[in-house]
Formats: sequence, structure tokens, C-alpha cells
Amino acid sequence: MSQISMSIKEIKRKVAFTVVMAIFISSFMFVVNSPSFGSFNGYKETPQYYISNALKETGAANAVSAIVWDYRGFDTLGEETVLFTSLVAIFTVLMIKKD
Amino acid sequence: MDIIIRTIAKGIVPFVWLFGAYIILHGHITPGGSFSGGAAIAAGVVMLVIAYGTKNAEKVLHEDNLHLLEAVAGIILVFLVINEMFFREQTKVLMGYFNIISAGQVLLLNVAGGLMVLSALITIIYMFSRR
Repeated sequence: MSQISMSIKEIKRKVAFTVVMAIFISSFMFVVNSPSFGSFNGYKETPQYYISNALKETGAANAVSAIVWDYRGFDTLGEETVLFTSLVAIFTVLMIKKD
Repeated sequence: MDIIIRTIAKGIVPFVWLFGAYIILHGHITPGGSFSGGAAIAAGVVMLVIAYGTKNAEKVLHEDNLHLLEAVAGIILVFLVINEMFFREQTKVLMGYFNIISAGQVLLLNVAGGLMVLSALITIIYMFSRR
């Protein structure tokens, strides 16, 4: 009985060690393989696509507005939800009556 | 407050609101958008609250109307974003690239989001100033 529980603890420890090492190695490889700080070459494709296609596809001259409301509409909807949640939180705190 | 502050607030607040409406309505042409325009309009209401007090400011813009505005604008915003997912190509209204009525969904989304930001910020201001 004690042998089984020991082996389960051992397995848990090995699984935890493997997961931690996988996270560590993958983050290390991500840092090593990412483009150097301030270089333009690594992230060329998405900004180039927005600069050359945003006016054509959405019709908005303001590319920031086109990205915020057209390409990433759900993200901005989440931002509005954050604002609404803060409003509800302030209501909840300030509506408490001090008797 | 003072007569000086009251007079200056009465003169400046309409122009602050006009500037906020300009930022929201031109959000797809010039820099700006719904968040900054709504914050500008809320700043005008801060001036009113400081100069005239919350009760007099609520004669201009009552809090119940703000709750209604927030709910309606939020529902419209959700419908527009879901509509954008399926019918993005069909709803595109292109009448020249740099007119106010262009860019289809982006203009409507800017207006709806601006109304939502505006009503949320003004409600928070009223809640804090009443304590």
C-alpha cells in the first residue's frame, strides 16, 4: 500500500518536472529565436498587410480605427465589456448603505 | 462655485461637447475614435459638475437616460460586431474614401462604442460626485 502511494508520488513528481522543463525550454527557445530588439525584419508581414490593404478593404482612412473596429472587432467588444464591468463594480461598491 | 467658474463653464462646455462629437464622428478619417471622443464629452460633464453641482448637472443629462443609452448602445454594438463576422462584405458602404459617410461598419461601430463609453464614464462621475 505504501509502495503504491510512493510510486504515485514519484510519478506526479516526474510529470511536474517534465512540464516545468518543457515550459522552460520552450520559453528559452522562443527568446533565443525571436528577432533582435528593434529590428523590423521579424514582424514585417502583418503591418505590411495592414498598410497596403486597410484602406482598400474597409474604406476607413484611419488605419488604427480600421484595425480596432474591423479586423479585431471582438477584441474591442471585450474592451467595452471591461468598461461596463467596471461600471457595475462601482455601482456594487457605492450602493452599499451605511446604516 | 464662483461666478467666474460658472460663466466660463457655461461658455466652454458646448464646444467641448462639439469637439467630442467631432472626434467620434470622424473616427474613421482622422486620429481618434470612440474612446477618446467619449472621454472628451465626459470631461465636459465634469466641468458642469464642478461648476454647478450634481443636481443641476443632472437637469441637463439625467442618470436614468444614461442607463437607457448604455443598454441600447451595448445591444447595438453586440449586434454590429456579430453582423460584421458574417456579412462584412455586404454591409460595406463606400462613397468615396474620405467622406464622413464611408467605411460602412466602422462609422456605426464608432458611434455605438462612443455612446457606450460616454454613458459609462458620466455615470461613474455622477456616482462619485454624489458621495
